[in-house]
Amino acid sequence: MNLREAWRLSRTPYIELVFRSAVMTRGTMGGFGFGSPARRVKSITRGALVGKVIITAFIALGAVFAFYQFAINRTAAGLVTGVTLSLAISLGYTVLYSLQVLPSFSGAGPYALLSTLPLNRRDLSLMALLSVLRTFDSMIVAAIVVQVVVVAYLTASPLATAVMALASVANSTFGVTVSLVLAGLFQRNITSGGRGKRATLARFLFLISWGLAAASFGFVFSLIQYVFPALASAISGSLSTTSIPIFFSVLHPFSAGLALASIVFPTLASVSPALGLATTLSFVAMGGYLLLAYFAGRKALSITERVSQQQAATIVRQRATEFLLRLRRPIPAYVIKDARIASKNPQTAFVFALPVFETVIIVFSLGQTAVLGSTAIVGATSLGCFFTLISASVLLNTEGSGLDYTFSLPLNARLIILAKSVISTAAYLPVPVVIGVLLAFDQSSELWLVFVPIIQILAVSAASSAELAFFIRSYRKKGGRQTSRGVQTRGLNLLSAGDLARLLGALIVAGGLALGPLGVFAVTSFVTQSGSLAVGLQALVALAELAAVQLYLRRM
Amino acid sequence: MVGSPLTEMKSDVDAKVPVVEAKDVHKNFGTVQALAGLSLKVMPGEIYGLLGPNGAGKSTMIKIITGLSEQTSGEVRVLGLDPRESPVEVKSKIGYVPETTMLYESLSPRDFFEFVVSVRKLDKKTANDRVSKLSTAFGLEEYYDSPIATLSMGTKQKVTIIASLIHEPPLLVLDEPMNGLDAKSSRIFKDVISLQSQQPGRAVVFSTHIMEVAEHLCTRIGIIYKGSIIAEGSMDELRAGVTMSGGRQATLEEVFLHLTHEEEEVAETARALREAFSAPTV
Ligand SMILES: Nc1ncnc2c1ncn2[C@@H]1O[C@H](COP(=O)(O)OP(=O)(O)OP(=O)(O)O)[C@@H](O)[C@H]1O
Ligand SMILES: [Mg+2]
Repeated sequence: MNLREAWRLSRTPYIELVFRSAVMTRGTMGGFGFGSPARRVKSITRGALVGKVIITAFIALGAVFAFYQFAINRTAAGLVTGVTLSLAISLGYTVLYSLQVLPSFSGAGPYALLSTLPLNRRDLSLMALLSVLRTFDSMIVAAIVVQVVVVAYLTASPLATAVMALASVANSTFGVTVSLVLAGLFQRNITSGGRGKRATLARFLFLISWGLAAASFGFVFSLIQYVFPALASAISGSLSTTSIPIFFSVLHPFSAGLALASIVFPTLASVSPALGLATTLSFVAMGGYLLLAYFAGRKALSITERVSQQQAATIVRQRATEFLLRLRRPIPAYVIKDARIASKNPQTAFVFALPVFETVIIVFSLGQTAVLGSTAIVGATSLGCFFTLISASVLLNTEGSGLDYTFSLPLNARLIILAKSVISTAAYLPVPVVIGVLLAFDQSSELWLVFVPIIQILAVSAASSAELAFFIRSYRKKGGRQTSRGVQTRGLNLLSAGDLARLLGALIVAGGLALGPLGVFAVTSFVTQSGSLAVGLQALVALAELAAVQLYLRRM
Repeated sequence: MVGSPLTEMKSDVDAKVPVVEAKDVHKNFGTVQALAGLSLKVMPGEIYGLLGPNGAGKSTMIKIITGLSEQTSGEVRVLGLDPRESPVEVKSKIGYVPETTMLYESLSPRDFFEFVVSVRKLDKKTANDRVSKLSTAFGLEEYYDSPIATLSMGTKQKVTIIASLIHEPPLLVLDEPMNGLDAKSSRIFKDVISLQSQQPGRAVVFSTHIMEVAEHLCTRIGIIYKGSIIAEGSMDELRAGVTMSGGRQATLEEVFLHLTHEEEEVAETARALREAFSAPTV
């Protein structure tokens, strides 16, 4: 089979991949709207296309804007940052996007039928690989084209453009491979069960490392903000330590940036001995990464080969000697169930990474401010609220393929919403703790300010309930007719344009609810200069919000 | 209208209240008409079998009974309740085995049962007792702590069957429950169904394609064809309408094919198939 034909045929498993991933997050009955089955499949694939276009646009714009500093100033440091940031953005978003599409990949479902056809192994795995590439095609093309064109335009150097092209291709290869490896890791996490100490410990370690990985991705952006000044001073020769440029010269996107900059600015290597060594090293590293990209590509090929030929992982089973169940009240039971599933699903495991993420963010943002006054605390608290709310809607995906089963249980919408908002509120709790510790260590600060993030617990709880109510609802009146009070739950699929629109609405309402009390505090303390009055009013508003949301949930 | 607490409490043991009653139920999916005026009534003590060709509307009707889906028009009552108006009450009185075994894939059967039992607010001792007896009966020991994703289809089916039985529901609604069960488990399962129907005030509604099961297990059989019931009754009543050559008693399969007008179709298809297989291969 030639490549053209394989590409054409790979459309079928690709559509299956998209469809199955959508079903995994939204069940077979819920959320696809009405109409004939053929129309629904169409609406899912159209939704996937819209999602792809949005992410592609995001990557393309991000890859261009990364260069704005260089476009204005034309400094070597600007070019290093531009190339690095551009590559990091395309890599990061490609991986994040893949978590939406690939859950069904490792289950091998999309290839089950294909593998029964009289195709030889090579053709089969080629088609599998191409169907995976189809999920990324527009992103990869957009990233490579944008990066190459921008560098060619801004530097007018053929050599630099060639280096950019190589780095860009390698970067995309890493993106695909990392996505596949992650999908495989989570699949293994799902299929390795058990409540033994070792299994639990392994799962815990897995979650922590996932948390750190997610946090470090989020930090690529702020990292560059911190590293940029250091880089700039290294490049201008005023930096005394030699380790910083040397360390970064061997790190993936930086190495490409440094190598490229030293081509455009040939004098760069002679600024200081350290920088000379760093630029040399960056070329060596680039060579190494190209080689690594080659192996990464082969790894991707072997993963798809394994999956398409249905070689499942080995499973270890233990005979149960007792069948004892631990009974809980419905809400705690729902919380536990959600937490168990969330820890194994790549789309939801982020919730567990959140406490780590929040701690780092707050320590960084408050660590820079000289005085821990009310402005700084309000800022740090709203950051914490923001990340919590982003994660709340992610909890919708914990139903997964069990969504249809959730419908069949005697549950009302309120219980499901409360259970999920318990989890997202718990994910916010590190915020007041970290702020409290920082305040306690800072002699000049006023300790009472810790009440601000503590009161926000109420607001976050109200806001996440309201956010979830956008997705989980029970209809009572519809066109004047009394209809079902049954629950309508749906997972959140970022590939679906409808879900994206609803998510936006949910985030606006939830953001308003979360920031309302903070705003009241800020305005009151600014106008009256009275801390106790401001905190009191903040608490009142937060309580009112919580009561209003609870009342709404009761009546829905 | 809210009924008095007394009548509500009695409703699931009252022998005169139908466990399921459906009148002229229609269901449209866009232009597809899945149910076209279906009516049925199931009384306590009955095992009601729904038979019908693929796409006849069995699963659609079952989802409406269980409150998972809403009819386009018509009335449905389950133990005197409207599943549209009191879905939570109806769901708490039903044990349901869905057609596809789509479960929370990353949970183990133990996690799954814990969740179901807790949500249904069951008593700890009775729940544990029942789960351990049912799990032993169905031989679930080896799989009790493995993620559901790694179980075979039949084992997954056993897990949903056990989950549907834990709360001793007055009504069992099963969509092709024998799917994937091995011989031993089907035997056990048939016993479970019989036992369920012998408890006062209880009933079973299930769909199946296995004629032999329907013939021996059901007290009454409804044959669905293109979205409505075209024949209903006990095995003997259904047989009465069909005369076989030589005075032989018709089997359920023969009754079924006769009623769904598939007799000639089957004969014709068989002829065509024979021709296809005997044709010289090129
Ligand atoms: N969610 C749905 N959307 C659109 N059409 C549907 C949906 N569910 C069922 N249908 C259609 O309704 C009709 C009845 O389907 P149903 O699943 O009730 O059949 P069934 O009797 O259970 O068949 P089987 O024996 O194959 O399980 C079919 O034509 C089917 O295509
Ligand atoms: Mg069916």
